[in-house]
Amino acid sequence: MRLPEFSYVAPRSLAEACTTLEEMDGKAAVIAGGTDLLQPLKEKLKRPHYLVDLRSIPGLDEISYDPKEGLTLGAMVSLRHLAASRVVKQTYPVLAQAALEVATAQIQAMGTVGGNLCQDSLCLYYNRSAASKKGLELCLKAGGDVCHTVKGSGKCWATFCSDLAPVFLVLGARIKIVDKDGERVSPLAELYSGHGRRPLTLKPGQVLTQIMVPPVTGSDGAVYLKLRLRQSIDYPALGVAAGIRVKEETQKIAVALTGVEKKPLLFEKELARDQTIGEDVIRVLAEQAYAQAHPLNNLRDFTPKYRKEMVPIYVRSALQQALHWGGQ
Amino acid sequence: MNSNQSFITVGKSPLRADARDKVRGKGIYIDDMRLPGMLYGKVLRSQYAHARILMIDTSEAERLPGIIGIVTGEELPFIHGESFPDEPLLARGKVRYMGEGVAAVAAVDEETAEKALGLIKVEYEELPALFDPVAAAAPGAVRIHEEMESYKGKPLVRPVKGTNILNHVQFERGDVNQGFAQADHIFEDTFTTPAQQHCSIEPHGSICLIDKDDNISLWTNNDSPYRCRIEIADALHIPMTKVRIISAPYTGGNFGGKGGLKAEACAIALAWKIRNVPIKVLYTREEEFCSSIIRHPSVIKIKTGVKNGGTILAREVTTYWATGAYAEKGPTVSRFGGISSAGPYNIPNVKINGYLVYTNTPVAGAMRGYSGPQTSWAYESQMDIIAAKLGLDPLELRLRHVYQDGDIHTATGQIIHAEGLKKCLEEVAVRMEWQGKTLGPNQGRGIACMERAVKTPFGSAAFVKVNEDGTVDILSSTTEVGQGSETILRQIVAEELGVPLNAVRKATPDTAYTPYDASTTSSRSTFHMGNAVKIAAADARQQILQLAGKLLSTDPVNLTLADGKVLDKENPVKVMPIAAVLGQSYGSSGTVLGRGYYFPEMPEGQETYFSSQVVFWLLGAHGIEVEVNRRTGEVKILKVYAAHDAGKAIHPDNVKGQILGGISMGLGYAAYENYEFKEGNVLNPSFLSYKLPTAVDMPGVVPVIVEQEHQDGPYGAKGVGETTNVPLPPALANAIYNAVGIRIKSLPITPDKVLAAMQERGEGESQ
Ligand SMILES: Cc1cc2nc3c(=O)[nH]c(=O)nc-3n(C[C@H](O)[C@H](O)[C@H](O)COP(=O)(O)OP(=O)(O)OC[C@H]3O[C@@H](n4cnc5c(N)ncnc54)[C@H](O)[C@@H]3O)c2cc1C
Ligand code: SF4
Repeated sequence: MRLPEFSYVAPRSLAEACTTLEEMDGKAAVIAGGTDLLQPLKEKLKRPHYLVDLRSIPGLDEISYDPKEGLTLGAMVSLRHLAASRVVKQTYPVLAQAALEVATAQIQAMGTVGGNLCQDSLCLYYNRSAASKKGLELCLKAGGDVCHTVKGSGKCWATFCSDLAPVFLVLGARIKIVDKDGERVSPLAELYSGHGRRPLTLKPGQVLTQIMVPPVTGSDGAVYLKLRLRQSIDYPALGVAAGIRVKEETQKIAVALTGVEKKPLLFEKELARDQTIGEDVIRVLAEQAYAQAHPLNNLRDFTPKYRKEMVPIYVRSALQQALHWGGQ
Repeated sequence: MNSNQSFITVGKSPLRADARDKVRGKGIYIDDMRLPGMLYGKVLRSQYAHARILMIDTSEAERLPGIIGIVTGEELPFIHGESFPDEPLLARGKVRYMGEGVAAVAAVDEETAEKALGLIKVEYEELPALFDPVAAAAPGAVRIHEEMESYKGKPLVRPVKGTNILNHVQFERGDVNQGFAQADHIFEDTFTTPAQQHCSIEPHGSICLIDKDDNISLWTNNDSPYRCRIEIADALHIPMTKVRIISAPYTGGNFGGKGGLKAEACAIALAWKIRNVPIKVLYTREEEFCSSIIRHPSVIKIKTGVKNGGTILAREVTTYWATGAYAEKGPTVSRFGGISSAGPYNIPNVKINGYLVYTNTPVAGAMRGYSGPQTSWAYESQMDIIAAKLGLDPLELRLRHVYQDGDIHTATGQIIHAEGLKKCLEEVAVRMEWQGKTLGPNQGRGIACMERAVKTPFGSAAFVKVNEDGTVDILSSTTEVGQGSETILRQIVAEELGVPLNAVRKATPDTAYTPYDASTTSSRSTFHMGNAVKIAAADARQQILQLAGKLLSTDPVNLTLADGKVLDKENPVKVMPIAAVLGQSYGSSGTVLGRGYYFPEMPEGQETYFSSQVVFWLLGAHGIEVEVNRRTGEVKILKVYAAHDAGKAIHPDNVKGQILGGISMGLGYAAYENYEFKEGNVLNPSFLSYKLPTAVDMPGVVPVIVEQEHQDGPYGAKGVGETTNVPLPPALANAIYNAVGIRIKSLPITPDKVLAAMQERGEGESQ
């Protein structure tokens, strides 16, 4: 399969990128590593006239840590860089581990943190070439009128499968979005729309430039567990991140899920700092996660029933490990 | 026998002839070949599983600049097939599966051809479609081939009139009803298997050139040039000598998938219309999944009667093979499957029925194991069900019934030489410490074995040409598809002729120059072509010794050949390099041509097509240790022990490679791979969604080469590669049973299935 024709734009600055993107009014797409974007292009699922490459913009691939500001990652940091970074391994090793769980070494080399968080959602009925769709009518995500996953629902249920999103969520990450009018910082969760067709809230002309993770404290802990059929290549059929973040007065226990909904799901519980995190807390989070996870038949591996059954098992296991690492 | 003989290169593992080229990316494959003026072909494929074609309008596509020609099935009144010709080059009148070729386009480049496909309009009238072989076999089912009765199949293909059953395979010995009546226990189980794809790294590809007199040149990665030639000639009703098949220097994987006509059919369809210009068709990965060939999905019902002590009295097996839209190799797959449905066991009463059924799914045909993976899945799983019920040791139950040398093979009634199978089982048992080793909690072990006949009787011919400089060319039509035959044939010739290995090359097959070979399939090349090149090398050697005898004024019986030189056994100072022998004998210089032909000896009066005395059996056994996670159903394979009978390993590293490769393929079939079908549509036609196990999913493997020398094999060798995948799935299922007591009867064995089975028994833990 070949790429369709498009014009390639390599802006020198963010401002230039944002202006170009906005002027093209939906006909342009950002390209970072291209590992998520190019396959749908080949399959003629997306037909941007312009690809605006962020690689030509200086300064977007840096990693820094400041005890006050915390960890700052440029959107163009590659997954391989994330996995190998000393700073990351010293502060949030879970990020390095999760980066290594993504796809394969080749994709980790090309794929970026920003691209990972901004990746499109997936569906067996959608992610295939026009030629292989055969008798299947065009579905909503492809511009048609039907959904094959949930018939008659009139809605797209494509699943969001980023491995990094749940990890950043439990770490309390914020993101910086830039457009031609300026920049805006918001919690990561606000990046996700909850719609299958368009999983992101980004508007044309907006670029994700930075991910900021709060400073570490002594007794933080976080883990990421990934369910997949094969130990390489595969997207998460379910991914569960769990984290404990200790503040001055309180502690926050967070669990986030990927691969089971149209967006990553986040569940949090705040306790007084000196309160022990016991079985009751774990149970409540596991039950919440179980109730809201909505795996469907639009990913290839495992039955939806199984994926749902794995939710509490993975949540428990992730929380227990996070508590262990967090020194409780 | 040769066992005490010492060899120069046979039994060693020299560097493979193709290794350097392939590792450096220098190997030439069909995709690398460009002929002057070559056009590119693409195929428009059916959007329906079963539909009448009402109209095809190509006019708009024809107007596209760069389009040279478009052809549809209506213009090609030809059908092809190896043993039951039923498949048009492009669909005619109706389509029988989603992905069938409907029209083909030739253009100056691939992009233009692809664009033109979008401009062709086809109107269909949808017909009811059948996907399940049992439903499709039922009387009164919609017919997929209304004209089946008019097809001219080979004599042993037995269609059932008025149905979708194109071959009914039957074997019966003894009286199963009487056996069941005498039995204390009756076991009845149904097993199912899914479709599987070969996933060769190189897709199908061909370049076809046809001149105005119908002379055809076809460059292709087909596994068997001569079989390909006759299939084309028969289909087009032209003399076969008008067809020349030229193999690509290398083929990137076969596993049975590169037989028959695939890209060949598309390239021929275009070239038949557009003459005097070469046209290339290369499949995409999606076409590989949807429009090439798959392993037969099957439903296997197996009933066994057993005495209290464990003696098996009777076995009845009924199998439904979903052959897809066209026969392809289905008739022979179902026949081999029939022969081995009851397993490699002495069972006095056996009744076998196999139904090969048309379905509206991609065409099923040859794939590594060729019925073995399906049949052994059923009989080896049931062996353990029997053992468990009667409290017997599964290994012992097998050893008690497994064929011994000289036993009568139950289905065929032939004498079987299968001593190697018992050895394979014993080797595996010893390595995995079957007696004695205690496993941890939730751990278990399983064992399984298999038999499969090699296709018989088929011939192989070879020339061994000794060049003026003493180097040697093997002219043989065995194709190098990755299996390593090139190296093995070179070893045999070097050994027999007495020349260094690096002096021997193997020519690329070309039906204009290299002699006949039935096929590079069925693990037959080392045995059949190995014998042919050995005979040819011996012939060349005799000729050289004769010439040398004259030059040295000695009786040739006193001479021998070693390291490329003729030596006088009695007078070691008399040494003459081959080049000198040829130079001095033939004036300036000359060549010597040795000829070899091998055809297995057949007892009189046997049916000759696919049913003669099986010349050798493929035999092997696997043992597996697993640990099952009771909460998640995940199965961790701790170790695989795999023993296969190679007769004599000409190249032991290559045999080990075949075992490891087979394990990965067997593991895929056992626990990962599956076609996700939705009404005939393949939902997962890519390497991301079709789950081949990756390198990191490979378990530790202990490969064991058993060498039970074959009396007719070259140096005792026989085939080994084709069935190294076969025993793995039942061994895995048996190990899981041993670990946690659940029995999975449908492949693949995925964690969700395992957990669901444990929950059904009230075992799994869930919230
Ligand atoms: C075989 C395969 C397996 C995969 N497996 C996994 C997996 O297991 N887990 C997983 O999480 N992912 C997986 N992926 C998805 C993806 O490749 C990775 O997540 C990768 O990190 C994406 O990064 P990229 O830079 O290549 O993104 P790109 O492809 O360049 O971009 C992805 C999307 O994000 C947008 N985008 C990128 N950067 C920005 C930005 N800074 N601001 C705004 N929009 C932006 C692009 O316009 C595009 O729509 C897999 C992909 C493949 C092909
Ligand atoms: S969930 Fe429905 S609408 Fe969305 S991509 Fe899948 S089939 Fe299309």
